[in-house]
Amino acid sequence: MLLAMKATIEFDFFLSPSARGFPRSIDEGDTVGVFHSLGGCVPVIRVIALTLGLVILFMSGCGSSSTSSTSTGKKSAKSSTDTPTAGSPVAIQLNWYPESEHGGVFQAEADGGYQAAGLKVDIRPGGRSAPVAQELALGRVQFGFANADDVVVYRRQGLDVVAVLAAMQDNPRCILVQEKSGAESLNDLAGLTLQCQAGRPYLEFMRSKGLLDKVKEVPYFGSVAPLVADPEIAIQGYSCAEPLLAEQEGVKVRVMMVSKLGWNPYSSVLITTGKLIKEQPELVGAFVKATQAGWESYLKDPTKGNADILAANDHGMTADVLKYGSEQMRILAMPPGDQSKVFGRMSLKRWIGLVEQMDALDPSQAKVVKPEDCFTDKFLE
Amino acid sequence: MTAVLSSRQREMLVSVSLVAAVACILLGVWEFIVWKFELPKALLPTPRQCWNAAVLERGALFRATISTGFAAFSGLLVAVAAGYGLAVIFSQSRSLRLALFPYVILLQTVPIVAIAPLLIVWSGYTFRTVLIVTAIVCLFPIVNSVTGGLLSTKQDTNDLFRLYGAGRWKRLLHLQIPSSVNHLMLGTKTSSGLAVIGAIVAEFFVGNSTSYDGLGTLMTGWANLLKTDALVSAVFASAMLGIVLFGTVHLISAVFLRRWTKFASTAG
Repeated sequence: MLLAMKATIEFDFFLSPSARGFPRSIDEGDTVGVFHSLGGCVPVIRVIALTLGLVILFMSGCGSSSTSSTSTGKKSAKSSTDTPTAGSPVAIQLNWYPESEHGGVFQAEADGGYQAAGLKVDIRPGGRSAPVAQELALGRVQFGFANADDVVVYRRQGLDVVAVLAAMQDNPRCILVQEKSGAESLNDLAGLTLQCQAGRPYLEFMRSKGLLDKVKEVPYFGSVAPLVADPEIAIQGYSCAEPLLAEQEGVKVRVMMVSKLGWNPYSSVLITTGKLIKEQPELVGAFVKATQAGWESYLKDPTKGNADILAANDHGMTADVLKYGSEQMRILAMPPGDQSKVFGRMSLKRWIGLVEQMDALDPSQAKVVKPEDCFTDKFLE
Repeated sequence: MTAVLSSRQREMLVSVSLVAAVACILLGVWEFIVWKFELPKALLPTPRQCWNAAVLERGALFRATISTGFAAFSGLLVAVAAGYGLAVIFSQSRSLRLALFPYVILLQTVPIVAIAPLLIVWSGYTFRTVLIVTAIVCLFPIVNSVTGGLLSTKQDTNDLFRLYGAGRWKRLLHLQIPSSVNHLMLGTKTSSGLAVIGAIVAEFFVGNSTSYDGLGTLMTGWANLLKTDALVSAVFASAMLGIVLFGTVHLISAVFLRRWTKFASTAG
């Protein structure tokens, strides 16, 4: 409306070139630009007064809003310290659009597992830049999804994020190329354009191996369309979704697992904060156990979970891709030769390995994060 | 001490110290907010943490600022050239102006984030795409003010030109263009800030496509790594870039175009 008005005004002005309201000519010399008004100091004082006023306004607004948010946070914490009463509200922030990599949570909800545990769970879909760590730190959500390397990234920045369950023992991170691109392995990416999310640790790892030397890195938007359109383009992906999404568009793709290079952090990791573990261990325990049961159920028969994921994802997800995804998930969650009897368990040895790898990639951050702080197994049985 | 300074210098000193005072107050408030609410540095770092991050990342930050600055400056130049051309056409024909001006407004109102993916399809992950995005963002203020300038010649000078039988061409060259220089500089100054925004938005979508990262790509990476302190320092770098670009335009108008702009400057 305002825009339309503005447009009309401009337009009217152009209808009448000699409009009286526009006497701006060279000899009448208007003040042009901010620099000139800096010369006189009365306006400057006014500007400062205004700025100060705004700052005070902002501060009072900011103060009240953040105190109110922390106080509600404390209130909800207190009300549910004992045991999770019927319908304790819990929110979980996904790290991507809902996909089979989040299957356990959707299945637990669909099976009624969360309800049985006395939890009322709000599943919040993520996307390209889902603020998982920020939402956790602000207490707006109690749980989140991440990769194990994200946990290290978050902890390096001083956020007390702790992994409590790892659904995928093997990392699904892969690079996808069209078969006709000619690239056979991750060693042949030179000359291609790679769509990827800048800053991801796996990229740094690939770079350290010299695999991205002649690769043009461009932003990734979460769609396989560019890969389908252009054999010169490679995209990042998860082996449990993007390969089939691309093949459904009619191109043959090659899936190159980054884990084969030796980069294999746990994935689909359930995270929470150290604070919540300390203050409400029962709540965390109840949620972790229900989610674990959800995953076990999802890997047996994902029908219900997939139906809910499909309903929650409006970014081009299809039933076929979800079916394929849950089959892939079975391999990634329970790799052949994996000895662990308890679903979702993590080993200190692998966390140590991951932190060492990441410290080597960024020596300025070495020793900031202790592997034993990154996770806890105590809620898993 | 002040007696030694000329009145102009004193004014300068006052304005500089006022700007510095505001900066100090704002930094103090910022530091206080972080301290008061015990915000973790991933959410809001203190000014000192941002400074330290900027020092730590100075190499990357410097290269990115140069890359983005180059993109912004080139885009602005393209916009000035195209905008000036369009404005001259608009000033010559009322019906052309009527027919085309709404579309120029359209260019301004369509969100650039909506057409950036399309531009990538048509122009690829190239520096050219960054340039096009930046130019689109910068175009409207230039077209708008230059057209206004070309049309706002005074009635008596118009009459004078007509009296001497000057044609359309002469009138454009000797009257309209000289008297619109001020408006061109005004439009370009408005666009100089937009150019930095345009270049960074383009980089979010395209990447910088030079051998180095631009500020836009750097920011995305740092956001993914939760390096909020470095992110804020990049925000400051882009703000500085905007100021430098604005200052450059101002300098050009003050030094090279003084003949046409001096009246306006002194009157201001």
